[in-house]
This record gives sequence, structure tokens and C-alpha cells, in this order.
Amino acid sequence: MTDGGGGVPGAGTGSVIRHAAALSVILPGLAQILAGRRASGGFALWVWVGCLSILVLRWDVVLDAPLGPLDHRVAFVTLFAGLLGAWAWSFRALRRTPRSPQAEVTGPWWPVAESFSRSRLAVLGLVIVGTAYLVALLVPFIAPYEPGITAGFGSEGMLRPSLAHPFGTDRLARDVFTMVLYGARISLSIGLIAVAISVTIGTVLGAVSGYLGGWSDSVIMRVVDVVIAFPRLVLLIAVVALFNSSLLLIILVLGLTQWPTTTRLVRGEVLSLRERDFVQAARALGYSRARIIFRHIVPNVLAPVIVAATLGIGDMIVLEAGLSYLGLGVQGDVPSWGAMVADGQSNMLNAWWISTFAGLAIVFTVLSFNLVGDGLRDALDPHIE
Amino acid sequence: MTRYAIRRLLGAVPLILGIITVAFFVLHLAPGDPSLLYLHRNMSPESLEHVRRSMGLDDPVLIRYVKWLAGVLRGDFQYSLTLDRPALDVVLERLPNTILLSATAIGGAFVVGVLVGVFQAVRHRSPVDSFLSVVTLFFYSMPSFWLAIIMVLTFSLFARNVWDWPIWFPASGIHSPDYEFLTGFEKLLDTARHLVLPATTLALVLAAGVARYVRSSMLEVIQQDFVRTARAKGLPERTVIFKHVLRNALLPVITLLGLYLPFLFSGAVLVETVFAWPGMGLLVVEAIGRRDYPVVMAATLIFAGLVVLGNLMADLLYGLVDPRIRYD
Repeated sequence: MTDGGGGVPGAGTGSVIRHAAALSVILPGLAQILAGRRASGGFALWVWVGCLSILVLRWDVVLDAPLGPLDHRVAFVTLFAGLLGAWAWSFRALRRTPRSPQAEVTGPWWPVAESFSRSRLAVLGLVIVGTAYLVALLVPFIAPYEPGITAGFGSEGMLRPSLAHPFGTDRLARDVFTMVLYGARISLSIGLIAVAISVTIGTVLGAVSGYLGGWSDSVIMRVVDVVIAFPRLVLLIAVVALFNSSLLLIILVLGLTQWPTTTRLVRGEVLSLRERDFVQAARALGYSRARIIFRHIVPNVLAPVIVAATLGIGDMIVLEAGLSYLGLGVQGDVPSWGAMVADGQSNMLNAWWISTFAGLAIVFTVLSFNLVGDGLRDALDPHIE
Repeated sequence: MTRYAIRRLLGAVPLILGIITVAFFVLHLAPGDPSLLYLHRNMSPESLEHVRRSMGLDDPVLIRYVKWLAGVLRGDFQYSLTLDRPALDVVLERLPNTILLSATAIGGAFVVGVLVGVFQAVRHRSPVDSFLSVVTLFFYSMPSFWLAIIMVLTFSLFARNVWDWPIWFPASGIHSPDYEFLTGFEKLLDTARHLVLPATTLALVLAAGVARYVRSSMLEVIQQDFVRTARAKGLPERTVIFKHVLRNALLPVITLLGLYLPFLFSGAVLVETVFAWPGMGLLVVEAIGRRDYPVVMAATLIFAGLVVLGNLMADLLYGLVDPRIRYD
């Protein structure tokens, strides 16, 4: 991630950067900000400061983590990976910046990154998404309370937002801030894994269908027709309501009903790629069909697939929120965002904070994914200007 | 074109058969038993067995599937397991409500969405365009149920109780309690008032998608040679935009219409739930909860039929407005 706005550091800024190099041992990312690459430096600094303050403020929890439950151990690893990552990232960028900015122009993704970073909103979306995933991983260290634990004996129910409870408490005296943080884990993991499933299936079937043609194409496209015309929400509700609802089931159902759009997209692209020279050449070299499909064709259709996948994560999060709003979401001691909205809905007039923060969390998470998706599309698609 | 339509309709038969088959087996292989609704603590196992037999639950799934399918072909969708009425009647009674909501929402969404999209494309890269892009993306990212709650709070609860606005809209249902005593025109007005909030909610979410689509479609057309020609021969910009660009940019939007139909018949579930709108979506959610299989199956079949019909109409419409498309 780089910020195109800053441009080439002049002779004068060179010395500033050298001074900043010393400073950046303590505050990585600062040098990049001084060099004008605000987004990439800012994110490094943000991760560094965030992780460091967690380490300092919650050191007792952090020290217990390696022997604690799985999510604590994951958070422990993430915390130090975040610290080291911010450091390494900024030193790597620092080593390059003063010498020649052109040194970074490497690889096919460079123009994409440059074009992407020109859109401030897309970069903002990427920073929010990155932060959201970090928060989801670090949740046990950030949340001020234990999840699913009732704080008082009803006397602390429905408290207004305050310093002790930044987002207030709900009817069962649970801390809403803690619940929103833990809810992020459900939404983000469902979005990511379900999209990974659907994109994998969609790309493979689309490429096979487009490249091979013939009866395999007809069969795959008929299945696509059925799945697309299926009243999807009805199927989702039926499966989730009738079988025992679990995280895995919801991920599977969401992932296994989303793929046809990717399949159509990939098939369309492959149909035009199939006749291109490099594919003909690969065929003339006697490569196997599998090798041509996966080594030569699939890499060339990845651009639209990546865009569709990013936008798809937003769709998945909205769908999952809708299911849990209907009371069909993941059952567990930690409610997901949709369930929290449904839970606080009847108290909207006297305790607006119960639903509102969960609702805003959904909106802004999905908005960020869509901003990233839009930015990627503009960067990857040379169609419009 | 007639031949094409007939061929498409014939092709839809296996499609719908596939959909209802999958739906049938998902429903019937799921754990749980509708007869348990009638379970009573003084009930003997024999009488429970009797209930199960009368509901046709003691047959193997495959036999039940064949029986159900044979019934459907004769127009018999079996009786609802909980409402004591034919399942098809239960569904058909809700269908007009769903169509009223969907048609209003789709109509509003396309008008607003096209206007916003055109405006943005004309002012491409201006501050207004960027601002509207963010606004449309915001609504596009908004879960419909969350927008619905906000609408209820603002235009129903607060407007009526807190701010004392002269105009507020009912938050749930389709009729007021005194509906039966109203005159014909008042009845219409009453339904319209109930329609405002759910239709606006749905329309806003859809319009955001339409606006994004129209904007990019317009921008693509604007670059084409015939637009430059039209400008070069001195046509006023208004004519160029509306006669030359918009007409071509709207073509792919018709496909979008076809894509939105399934969303509206099943995606309105959440909006119908929040507003207690007695449509098919709400019915299906309730019926799944009660394991009322015949009602769910009848609704699924009608959903599927409407979706196939909608897609066919979109395709035919596409051919009607775009002479480059040939059906062969």
C-alpha cells in the first residue's frame, strides 16, 4: 500500500528522513508520513501504537494469554505479529524511499496499487477493513469485559453509555462495547470464509465450463440457472431454521449459494480468453487441459474475480446479519450484530444504544468492504478513463 | 419471438422442477416433525401415530415426494398443516400484498436510481458526483432491516410522539384497525399510508444499486464514437444525454430488473418482518418456523415461477428495445 499523493522526496526532505529514521525505531511509519506517504505510514503507526498500548495497558491479560484458551493464544500471536509487522514494513519502506522512488516499481500489481491509492476513500476503506480484522483477532485483549457475562444483578441493566461502559449495557447488563467487538469476529469470519468458498467453486466451475464447452458446459450452466433462480433467502432460512444452526453451517450455506454469479462472470471472461494467442501457444506446446486452465487462464481472470469477491464479502455480512436478525444466526453466548439489533429493537426509545452500535458496526464494515471493492474495480478495470 | 418465448417457457419446466425438488428434500430431510405441534401430554403413542398418518408423515420421503408432485400436477398443493386450509389458498391470499409492495418499490427505485445515476454521470468527477457516490454506496451497504428500523423510528414513533409532526406513517401492518368501517377512497388512502414506509425502505436500498449501475453504464456509453458524433454535429447537450446516451445506457438496466425480481420476492422477507407486512416473505418465515411444509413448498413454487417469468420478460423486453439482439 502506497500513497501516490506524496511523490518524490526532494533533496531537502532527504535529511529529514534520515533524522526520522532514528525516530522510527520508536514510532515506525513516521518516516513514511514525513516522506508524504501518509496512508501506508499512518497505518503502520496506527497498528504500532494500537498494539503497544494494548501491551502496556492490558499486560496482565497478555501475559496470561499463551496458556489461556485458543482465542487468547491467537490474539497473543497477532499482537506480536502486528508489532513486528509494523516495524518491518516501515523499515523496508524507509530503506527504499530516500534512494530512488522508482526502485519500488516492481511486479504486475504496482500500477494497481498506485491507481488504488489515488482514491482516498478506497484507502480509508482498506484501513478500516484492516483494523477491523486486527480488532477481531485481538478481541480478548481489547474488550473491557468477558463476553456473555452478566455484569450485575439487573441493577446494571440498560445503563447509558459512560466511561465504564462506552456503548452502555443491555437488558441483561452485558457490556454492549464488548458484545460489538466479539460480534465482529462472527461477521468478519463468515464473510471471508464464505466468500473464499464461493469464489473458489465459482472460478473453477466457470473456467472449466468456459474452456471445455460441450456437455460439461451445459451441465454446469443448468445447475447455475437452478441455483440463481432459487429463492435464496428462503433456502437459507429453511436450512438454518431446520438444522441445528452453527457457524460452520451458516458459512457453508452462504458459500454454497453464492458461487453461480462468479461462475457466470468467469465463464464469460474465459470464452474470450480461450481464443487468445497465448492460450493457443500453450495448447500447441501440448500442455494438459488442467494446466492450461489453472496456470494460463485462471490467473488472467483474477482481476474481476477479486473485485466481485471484495464486494461479495459485504453482501455476505449483510445476509448473515439479516439471518441473525430473524433469530436464525449463530447460537452461542456471544450474539452477532444482527441479533443485537433485533434484541434492542423494542427498547429503541428508552435505550437506543443497544441496537444502534451494532447497526452502525454492520453499516460501516460493509461500507468499508464496498469502498475497497469499488477502488479495486476502478484500479483494475481500465474501461473508464 | 413467440417461438423463442415458448422455447424458454418449456426450458423453464426442468428449471422449476429442479428448484422444487431441492426445496422438498431440504425441508423433508431436516430434523423435526410437524406432528409434534399437536403433541399433548395425555396423548397415547397410538394417537400420535394416527396424527402422523393423517398428515402423511409415515411414508418414506421419496413416496411423499412423488405423491406431492402428482398432487401439484393436478393443482392440489395439500392442506396447510397448521391453518386447516389449502396451502395454495394461504399463499395466494398473500401474493397481492407482496406484489403491491415489490412493484411500488421497484418502480420508485428505478425512477430515483436512473435520475441519480444520470445526474452523476453528467457531472462526472465533480464534487456532487463524489458526494452522491458516497451516499449511494452508503445506502447500498445498509442492511434493509436496519434502514427499516431507522424509518420506523423517524417517520412513525418520533414523528408522532416526540416531534408532533403533522404527517406520520403507520409502522406496521397493511390496514388500520378501523379499516372495515372506512369508505372506498379512505380504504385506498389507508393502505397507501401503510405502504409508504416499507416501500420507501425497499426502494432506497434498490435505488442505490440502480444508481451505481446506471452511472457506470452511462459513463461507458458517453465515451463511444456516436456520442462524439452527436456532439460534433452540434446537438444540444440535453438531447445528446437523453436521446443518445441514456437510451443506450438503460439497456443493461433491463437485465438488472430481471436480477432484482428474485431479490424482491425473497429479499423483501426482512422488510416484511420489520413492518409486519402480510406478504409472502413473512408467510414463509412463519411457515418454516411451524414446519408447515405444504405452505413453504407452495410458496417456493410460486417464487420460482415468478422469477423464471420475470427473467423471461426481461429478456424479451431487451430484444424489444435493442434491435441488435436476435432470437434464433
